[in-house]
Amino acid sequence: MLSLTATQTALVAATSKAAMWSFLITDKNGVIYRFVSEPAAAIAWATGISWDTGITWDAGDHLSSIVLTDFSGIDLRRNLAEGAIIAPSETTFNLSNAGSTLTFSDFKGGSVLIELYLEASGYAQTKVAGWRFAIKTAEPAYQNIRIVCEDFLQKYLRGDYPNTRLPADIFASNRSYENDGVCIPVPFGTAYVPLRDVYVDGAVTVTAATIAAVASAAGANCKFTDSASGLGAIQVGATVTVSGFTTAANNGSFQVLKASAAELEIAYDAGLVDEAEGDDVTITHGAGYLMLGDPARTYTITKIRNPSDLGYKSEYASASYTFTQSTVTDADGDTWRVFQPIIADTDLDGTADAPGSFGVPGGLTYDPPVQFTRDDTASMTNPADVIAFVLEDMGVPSAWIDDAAGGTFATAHTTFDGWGLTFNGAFWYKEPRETVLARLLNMCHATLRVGELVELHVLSKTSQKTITAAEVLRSADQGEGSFTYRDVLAENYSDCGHVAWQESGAAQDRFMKVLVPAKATRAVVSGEILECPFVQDSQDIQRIGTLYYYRKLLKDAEIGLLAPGTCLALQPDDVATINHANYGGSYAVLIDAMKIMKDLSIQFTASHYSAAMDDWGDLSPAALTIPADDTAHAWQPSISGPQTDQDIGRTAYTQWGKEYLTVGPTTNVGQETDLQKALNAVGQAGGGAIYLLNGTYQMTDVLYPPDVNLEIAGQSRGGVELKNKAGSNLLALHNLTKSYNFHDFTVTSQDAATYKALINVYGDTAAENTAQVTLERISLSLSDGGSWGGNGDYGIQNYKSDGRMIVRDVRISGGKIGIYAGEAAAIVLNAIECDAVLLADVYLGEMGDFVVDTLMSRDFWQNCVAVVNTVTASRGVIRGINAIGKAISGAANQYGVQVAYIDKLQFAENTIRIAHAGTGAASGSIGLIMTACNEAELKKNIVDIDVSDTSAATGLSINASNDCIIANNRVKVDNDDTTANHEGIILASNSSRCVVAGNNIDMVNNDAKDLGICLNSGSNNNQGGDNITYNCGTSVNDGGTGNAITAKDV
Amino acid sequence: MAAAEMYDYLSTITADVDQTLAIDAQGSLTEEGSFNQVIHLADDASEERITLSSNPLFYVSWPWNVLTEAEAGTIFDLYFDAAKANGMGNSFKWTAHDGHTYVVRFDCKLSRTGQAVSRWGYPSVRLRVLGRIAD
Repeated sequence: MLSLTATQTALVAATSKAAMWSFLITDKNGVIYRFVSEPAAAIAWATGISWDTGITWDAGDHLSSIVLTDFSGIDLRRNLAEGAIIAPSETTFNLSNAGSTLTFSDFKGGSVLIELYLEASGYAQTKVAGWRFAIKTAEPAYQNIRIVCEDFLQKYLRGDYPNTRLPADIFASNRSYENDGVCIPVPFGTAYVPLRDVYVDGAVTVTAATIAAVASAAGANCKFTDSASGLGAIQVGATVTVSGFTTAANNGSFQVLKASAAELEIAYDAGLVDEAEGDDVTITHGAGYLMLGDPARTYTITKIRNPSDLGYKSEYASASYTFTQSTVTDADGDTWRVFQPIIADTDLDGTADAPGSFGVPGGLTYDPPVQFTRDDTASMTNPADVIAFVLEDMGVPSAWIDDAAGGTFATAHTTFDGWGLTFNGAFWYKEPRETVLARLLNMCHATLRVGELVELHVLSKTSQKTITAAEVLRSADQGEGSFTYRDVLAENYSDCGHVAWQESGAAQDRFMKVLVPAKATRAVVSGEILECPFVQDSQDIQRIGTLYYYRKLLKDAEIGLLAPGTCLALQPDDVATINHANYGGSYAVLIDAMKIMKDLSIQFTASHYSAAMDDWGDLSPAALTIPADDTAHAWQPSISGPQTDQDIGRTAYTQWGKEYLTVGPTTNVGQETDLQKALNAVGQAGGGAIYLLNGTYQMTDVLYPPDVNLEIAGQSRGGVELKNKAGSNLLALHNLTKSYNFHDFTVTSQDAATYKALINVYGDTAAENTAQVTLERISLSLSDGGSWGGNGDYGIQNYKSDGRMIVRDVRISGGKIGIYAGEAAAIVLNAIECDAVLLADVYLGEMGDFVVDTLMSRDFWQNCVAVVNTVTASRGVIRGINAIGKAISGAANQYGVQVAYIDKLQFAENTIRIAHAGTGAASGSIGLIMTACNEAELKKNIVDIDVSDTSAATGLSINASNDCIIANNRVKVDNDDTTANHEGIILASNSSRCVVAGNNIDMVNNDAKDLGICLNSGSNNNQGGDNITYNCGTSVNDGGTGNAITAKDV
Repeated sequence: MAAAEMYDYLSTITADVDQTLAIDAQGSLTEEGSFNQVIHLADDASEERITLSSNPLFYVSWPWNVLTEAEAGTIFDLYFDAAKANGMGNSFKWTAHDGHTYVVRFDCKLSRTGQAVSRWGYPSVRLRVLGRIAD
């Protein structure tokens, strides 16, 4: 409804009045033409217009019907915001151009202000309305210029909004984005929208003569160091370009794995060569930044999160994270405000220390939602203010927006405040301006009217006028008038639709949907979704949706009528009441369009709806409670992708509960192919796990695990084969202090001449090596010289260690020593399987506590187990050995188990067999030889020796060991040699106070030198009975004193 | 002089060309006057009256049945001379039957009929009366 004064209202209502139209035309050059249809006393000619310049007047200061003809009247249409249409008002007229004195092309792009003046009895000529138009076309013909106008707002609705540039254009790179239309945002209130992550080439540059290059050592990363500590700006993860070093290898591109002001770490195999500082070295790199926009503005950033499309929510708030703002310069010299979220924790110390971004290397770069405000719009949350801002930003002159005090924008502002309706959001991608404006209007249930100014009006169901028979014209004295009522056969019978919205504090890159009724029911759902990105209140969005869908879905008839000028105050989007029996009774209609003719008759088009219309205040929807999805678990690694058919793909999470850095034997099947790089990455991460996919891995150097808790897991024991570099350790754990768990792989030695420990855990001193090492389900295929006494590999070495080693379910073949521990605090061996190891399957020297439990040894050469301490410093258990000595000849002793200087040794339930033909070991074949092991228990062992040696063959040999219990052992010695004594059990020199009982001894050959139990001189006070000897020359041979050992010789 | 004449309702204006048509009208002279007004008639028989112009619109017409050759030539020349009336293009002065001089223009085609005795006629002449001279 036009807002009219009392005089204007009276003039409109007058049944007899004079009308005068005024046209103020400004051509594109600024030349003004003014025409009026009558002498216009009401026009203050001089007001605002200079008589002297720029004004062309027609001869009589007015326009006759000749000069301006074919005025079509004024078409006014309501904004079909529900259809995203800001409908134009239009008019046309002819401009007489007698003699062709006017240049028609001057008028296109100009403007026309059309004003309507009324005069009636008792009322002087008074302006009642005005409309500002833009001249869309000006077409010459026969000394006329046909002028076609549209309301002045329309030209500002062409194109897209926002006007801001695309960051990806400003800082072009080869990054790929999911949405190419993301632009610099225009925020209102607090926005939480995606910001473009741009790559700024050469953003960081450091030049100094204090930068040195450091080559890799022992698998450690290469480094650039700066004695002046000026590298603080270089960022972890960046690929830096280095130039200026004398040594060419130190120049080039490198990825920074770890950064501090003093040094940068890069890959161990980057090829750096040691070079001292001195050269002017430049290190530069590009960096990713999130684009904020105008550097003249102040931005406050409060949150950032991962894009909603990318998995579970990860949100970073300013209370806990730093958002570093800076200003960068583009190639044109323009500056831009950007920031980096410091959200990455490169060293996993719990504190973010590097910029984070969201993307897939080599794939898409995503734009994370950022919650922020801009100083000029931070408090601009009233919809009226936002719409006025946007209109002006679209180019509408501020003087043409009715946002002054007392204007329509101010009135709407007050209404919105009363509703408590606020806008918080941003325009962050390009859309047609018409769409933008329609969305803004929909979100506040308002409309724009374009007269002389752009007005903002809240939509209302209040009827502005009642249409009776006096307001419907007819064209003839007799017959029907102009009223028409046409049913709309609605193609869309939906009664409800969705509204997309988001809660306060939630990111606005994706939206929730709520189904709202157009009136009351939600039976037939429309496929349309009304986007309300700026409104966060759940009740408000339901109101907005209902009011929107009412107009969208419930129209059921279209009304037309020609009315007199007494209806001039009505406007499109007004509600009027039709009230006459001839027109179907009394009902409300919404005016869609009206055409004001030159003679003031008005052609109305209106809509009738199937239900009563509502206002904002009529609706009281319940507040929505949105349940939060608290799902916290997922399959890891991904259940899709290359590993899907592997067990780990399905069960990794529940089995291991952590992520693995996957290493594959070839490219594109894991995250790494270089195991040392993977180890360094885990080191940089402060610990972690590596998963080796099946395949063969040939090392080119020793692998140096970092000093972090580490797991290396093979996909399968037989499927993962690690080959050392010939002549080098496979793994070297040197002076480490953390826990290591290596399992499920096979090691195949590549050694030929120089033999190494394949898995070598060692310290410079035991105190420096406190690593806790667990090795499980590993197969070691070792190399050796192939002959008795020759050289060979050590499978596992633990040397100088205050840590603990556990070896479980390990198979070893070949080599010189299967498992070696020396000067080590503790080792536990369980379920070991050895085959053809030259010197010893297990060799422990100066060992602390140890357990050998279940060792199956085939073809051991010299020892199955040797524990060769020189001082008593340990306690040990040897249990469950099942050993078969290899047929060897000649060179040395062959002892199944050799132990010395162990306190309280438990040696039980072992089976040791030595069987070979020929001359055999020169110094004897002995099942167990034990020296200086007091309080040992030797129980339930089976020793079976079947040799032809000229030297002594002995089942159990106890030397210098007191207070021992040797019981219930089965000993069989079959040496057909008759030149030397052979003993079943011998307590050699100085073994006293032992119990020897219940043993079963079979010397097989019945030779005179075959002794069942032999007590040498110095072995005294030993006791025991229930022994059985047979096939002995002597059952018990007692050379000591005080002994009372008996045996039944059978 | 009549009690009320066109003269009383017209403004003073200046003719485009300083030519005066002073040949008296013949036969029945018709004055036709109106305002630019619209009447809106509603379904309930009420009406709204809109005045679009307060300036009256006058036309005069008559037949010149018998003119001398010279008179016919004068009229013919006035009509077709581009420097004079130029058809309907220029206004000129007309000495009317009521004794006043008005500013008029032709509002018709010029149809001339001839007779064997050198008499000419213009069966229908119509002028738009634009104003009057200052007299």
